[in-house]
Amino acid sequence: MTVPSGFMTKHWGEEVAAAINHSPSPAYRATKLEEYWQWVDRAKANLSTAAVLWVKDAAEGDRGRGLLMHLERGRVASTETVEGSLGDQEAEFVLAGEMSSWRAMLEGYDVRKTVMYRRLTLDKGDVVLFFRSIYYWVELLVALSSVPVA
Amino acid sequence: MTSAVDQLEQADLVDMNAFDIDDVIEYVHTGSARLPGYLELYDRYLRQRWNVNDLDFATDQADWQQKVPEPSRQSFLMVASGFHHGERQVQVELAPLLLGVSEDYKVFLTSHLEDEARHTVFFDRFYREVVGVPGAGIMDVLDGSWRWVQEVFVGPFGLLAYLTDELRRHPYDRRVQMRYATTYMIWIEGVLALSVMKITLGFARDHKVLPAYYRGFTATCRDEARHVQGGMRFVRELLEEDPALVRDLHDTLRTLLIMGAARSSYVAYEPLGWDDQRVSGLFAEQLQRKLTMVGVSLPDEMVGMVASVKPTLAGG
Repeated sequence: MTVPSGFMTKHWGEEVAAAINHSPSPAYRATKLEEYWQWVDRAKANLSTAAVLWVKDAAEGDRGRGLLMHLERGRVASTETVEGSLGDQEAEFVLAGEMSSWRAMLEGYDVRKTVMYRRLTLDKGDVVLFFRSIYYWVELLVALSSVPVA
Repeated sequence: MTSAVDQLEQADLVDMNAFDIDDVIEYVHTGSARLPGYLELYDRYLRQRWNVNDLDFATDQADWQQKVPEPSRQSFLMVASGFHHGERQVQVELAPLLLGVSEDYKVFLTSHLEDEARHTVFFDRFYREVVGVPGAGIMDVLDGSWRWVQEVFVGPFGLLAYLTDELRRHPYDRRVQMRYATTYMIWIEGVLALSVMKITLGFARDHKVLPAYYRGFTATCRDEARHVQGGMRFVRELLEEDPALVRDLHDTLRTLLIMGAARSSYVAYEPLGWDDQRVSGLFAEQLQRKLTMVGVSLPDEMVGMVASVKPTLAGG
């Protein structure tokens, strides 16, 4: 599997943060009921935490690399690239997938199917708590998918 | 005189058109003070099992084109597509539960799994032969109906998928089992599915259309009765073993109710003879009946959350 060279880099992470913090665009916002975005905003208000988006290295057990995001009320305050063992990641949530899953999503595979078909999995964190903000996480992945990868 | 519920117990597939969905819902809850044992439910499965390939959709195909008006078709698809995908999801997410449960429940769950595969094929046939969605395989047809599925479907069904993954890794963990059963058996099957089944079946009955859909989906609902009864027995047994597990039931319900308060688009129920308020009322009623079956009440702060659940989703 060819890994896009820009994926999970510092520069890409900064662009992802900007995309998340500036979403939804007015055009995208208009595709859903306003009450949906109000639900997402309420979820954001309770999300001041750290989360990692993680690429599993299929050949190396729980090793891989990813993007650590520090969230403050749902806004991405900072990002940094991380690597090593998934179990060592200091984050409340780690959303992980094989490179093929990330690539498919970046190339347009439906974000909701990506979650429901477990192409990304919550490898760290309380599932029941995570899903109390699920539509925020879905929209975060939608925003991420809009950022080109070199 | 034999009641409709008694007749439903013994009926074959060809007889299903004689029953109303309300008969089936009562059948789910009959005698819930003494829920059937797992092997009793397995025996019922052996007697009640039906062949999905015995259904002839020719009249349904004609009805869909000639008798069901376009607004009703669109609303029907928005509701039924949740079932099309829901049935597939509850099929693929069941197997890990077998790993850590009692031997009798394992036996019953093999029948539950076969039922859900049959329901998946039922909806595959309906979408191919009646709606006209093309596809080389089952997933192609599922992809074809995805456009009608509500976006917030990812909430409860994503939760089910992720809890299934936890169950696979920790099959004997009673807390995980409780969270899973709350999501699958109480909410998805016991609340969403049993509520929303009334909508499409009621439409088909009132307008005298889609006879094969009516027959097969009524038989599907009777299968779901066994699943819900088995699931409620399982939840009750978990609570009898450790009453503290009620916290996991409540925590999981809290998440489901929070997610249930979201919707990204409207479902027009009026062309099917329903409205938002009545559908929301169905959800609330079915949740209360399931909680009564397991002997649990909602904390006061959660009672108000039930009223906030949007009438958006069908289940599997």
